[in-house]
Amino acid sequence: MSEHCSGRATPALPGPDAATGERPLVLLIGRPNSGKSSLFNRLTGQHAHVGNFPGVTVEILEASVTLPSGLEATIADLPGLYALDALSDPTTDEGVARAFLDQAERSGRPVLIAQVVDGTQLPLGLRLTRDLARRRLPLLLVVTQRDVLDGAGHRVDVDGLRAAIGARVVAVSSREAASRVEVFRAIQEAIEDAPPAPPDAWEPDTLGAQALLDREGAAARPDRRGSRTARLDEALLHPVIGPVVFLALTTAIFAAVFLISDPATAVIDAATGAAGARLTAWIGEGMLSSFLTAGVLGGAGTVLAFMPQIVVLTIALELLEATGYLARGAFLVDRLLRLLGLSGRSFFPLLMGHACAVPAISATRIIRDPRERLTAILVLPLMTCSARIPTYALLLGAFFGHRSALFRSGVFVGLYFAGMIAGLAASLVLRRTATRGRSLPLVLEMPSYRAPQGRVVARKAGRAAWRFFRDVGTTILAASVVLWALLTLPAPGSAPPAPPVATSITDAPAEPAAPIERSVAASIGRALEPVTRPLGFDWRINVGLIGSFGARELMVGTLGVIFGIENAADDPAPLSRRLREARGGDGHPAYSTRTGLALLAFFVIACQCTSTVAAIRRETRSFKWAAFVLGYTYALAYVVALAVHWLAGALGMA
Amino acid sequence: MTVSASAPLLDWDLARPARAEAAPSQITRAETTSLAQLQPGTVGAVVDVALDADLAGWLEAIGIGRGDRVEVLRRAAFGGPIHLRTHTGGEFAVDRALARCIRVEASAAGEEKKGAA
Ligand SMILES: Nc1nc2c(ncn2[C@@H]2O[C@H](COP(=O)(O)OP(=O)(O)OP(=O)(O)O)[C@@H](O)[C@H]2O)c(=O)[nH]1
Ligand SMILES: [Mg+2]
Repeated sequence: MSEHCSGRATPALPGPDAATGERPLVLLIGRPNSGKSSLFNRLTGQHAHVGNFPGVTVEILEASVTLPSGLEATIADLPGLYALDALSDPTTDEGVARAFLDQAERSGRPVLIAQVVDGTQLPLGLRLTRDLARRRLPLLLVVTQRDVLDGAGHRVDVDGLRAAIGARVVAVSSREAASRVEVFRAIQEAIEDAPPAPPDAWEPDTLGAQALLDREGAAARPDRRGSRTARLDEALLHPVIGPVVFLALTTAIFAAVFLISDPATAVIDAATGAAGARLTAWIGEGMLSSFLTAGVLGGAGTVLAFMPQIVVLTIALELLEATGYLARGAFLVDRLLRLLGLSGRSFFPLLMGHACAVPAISATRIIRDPRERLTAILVLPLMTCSARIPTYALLLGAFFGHRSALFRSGVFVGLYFAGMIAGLAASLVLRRTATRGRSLPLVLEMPSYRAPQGRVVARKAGRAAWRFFRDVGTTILAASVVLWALLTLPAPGSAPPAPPVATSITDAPAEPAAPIERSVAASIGRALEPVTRPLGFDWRINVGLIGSFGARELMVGTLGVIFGIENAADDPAPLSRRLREARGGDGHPAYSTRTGLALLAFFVIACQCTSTVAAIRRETRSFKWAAFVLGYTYALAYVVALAVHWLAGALGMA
Repeated sequence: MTVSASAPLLDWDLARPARAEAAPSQITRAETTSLAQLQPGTVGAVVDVALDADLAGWLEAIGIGRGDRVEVLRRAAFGGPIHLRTHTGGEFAVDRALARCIRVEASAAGEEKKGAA
């Protein structure tokens, strides 16, 4: 569950709000990746998602600002668009932008179009300017990336441009704070003053070339950014080196998530364990200490220990996005994805799905082809999102704890690839059945490489950490507490209530009537045992599976609570060890490596996430597909887990 | 989004039936070739885009319209996309099947980095 998993649900297309009356609406319009969101953030102090990839913004963000004159205005950050007239599917990012523009135009409210133009690609931006000028709406041209032009010894001929196109022009860098005032002043002028005289006909390409001047004093330097991009592409898009680097990079990222975070997790784990022991010693054993140690620390605390993984993963994905490598990845895998019924355009959402499926489902709006888009949405839940990490890490620790860290990270990476392979296989099947049909061809812009901004990356990581912390502190904590209650309360009709969980409950098989065994949750878990026994799951895992129906992290939280109650009197041991040493009713070890593998397989595939299901419903506007995803992933998860359990047995595993 | 609800693009046809071939052209066929056949490092001027109007309009907006010059930078392996630079300063990955519908007149090789800042 990274960043947006519990993000607010913005309606797909919020219309310009009539209630705000005559307050002018400033629309940031421009080609994808031209710097609209960067400018929006600079102007409004917000934190819209910025990335070096065309199509990062897929929904509209609005914020109010006060211009220097005291006038209030609303600024809207739109998804990018290339053309105004070409018809496009209103469910894509370009369609969302166009529909919003049309709506704003019809609303009768004062509208200013602030077209954001990448200064390094003036002719391309001016093609859109020509279209926009035809709309006869007040227009302001904001040329961004002045810093990059500076570095190349260029500057924009602001006055020349203004005279030629008959609209105000301002050249800024969104990376400089001073730009805010400059753009505000230009916006205010554009709103208040009469527009400049309409110009003669002009031609975007020639004008674009003319408007780029050499800076005084600075001899025009060779285009360093362009040649750097060309050199990097030479290697990264090389027919042999390219794919090798691509695979190595993905493997390295997932391995790093495991290897870097594992020690940190162990420390947090030990700390919560010690805190639990201290707490019990302090309040004494009883209902309250059971609640605090097993319910709160065992549940939410155990999940919290996996924050380092989430942070490392967020940083890695952010770096890929900020450098511009993602478009290269799309280029490299397009052919392969095409064989499976997707295209390079699906690559970005599918990769984002490794953080969290919810924003990735919105990100599918950059896919032009409706059937491909639906397919991508349907298989996205199979990508290994960060909410699976706690379970993976826990089970790897429990069942492969005796193996080297390298071995475990190998299995960990393997689980990621298993998810991708499952997703691609599912897409292959879907494209031949439910979403059959021909695809639209790929056209994808390849942005220049950029150095990531340390501050943006750090902020992203901080936010991921905070959201995870917040989710653990709210949803997961609440669920852990409910679960603790269900595990403590005896089921109606079971043996007379024993004295509350006070006395030492050991895992000694001689005492089968431990209260937890008679609890409400346990009896539900037991009722499921006939179904899950072939997979090697007992009632405890079943309770975990029920808990994780809402959110995957709850698996670890649930097991933490169960074993926290069961082993209340023990030394604080990491959950992985308790899992390994757990006994069944007959006194034999409850779980084998086979159980662990089957459980891992189940988690690779099942869509255990209500937020994802809700996002699918919202994005496809149909309950049918949401239900379909739930149904097929759970069925597939069961079958695959069964196969893995059987196969591991056939291979002689205990 | 139900599949059927997404109307116009869905029925998009990859190419207008052989219009490029049928149309009488001032340029003899020997001089024009499809964008898909252009060798890496060569620049071509687009002479015809045999695609439906919407897609053609969209391509024109990014700098792949009639009269535009494009340079092929590389072609992905196994019939994958083509990486090209438009003279407007953008770089794009274009599907091979789409490139087949774009006829270009090959001109002298490697006008390096025209228009890119
Ligand atoms: N050096 C420099 N980089 C910029 C500037 N403005 C934007 N960028 C970079 O350009 C890239 C794209 O910026 P975004 O703000 O995400 O562009 P966008 O127009 O919102 O893109 P979409 O949402 O994909 O349409 C990012 O890597 C930014 O860091 C600028 O003024 N100077
Ligand atoms: Mg944006």
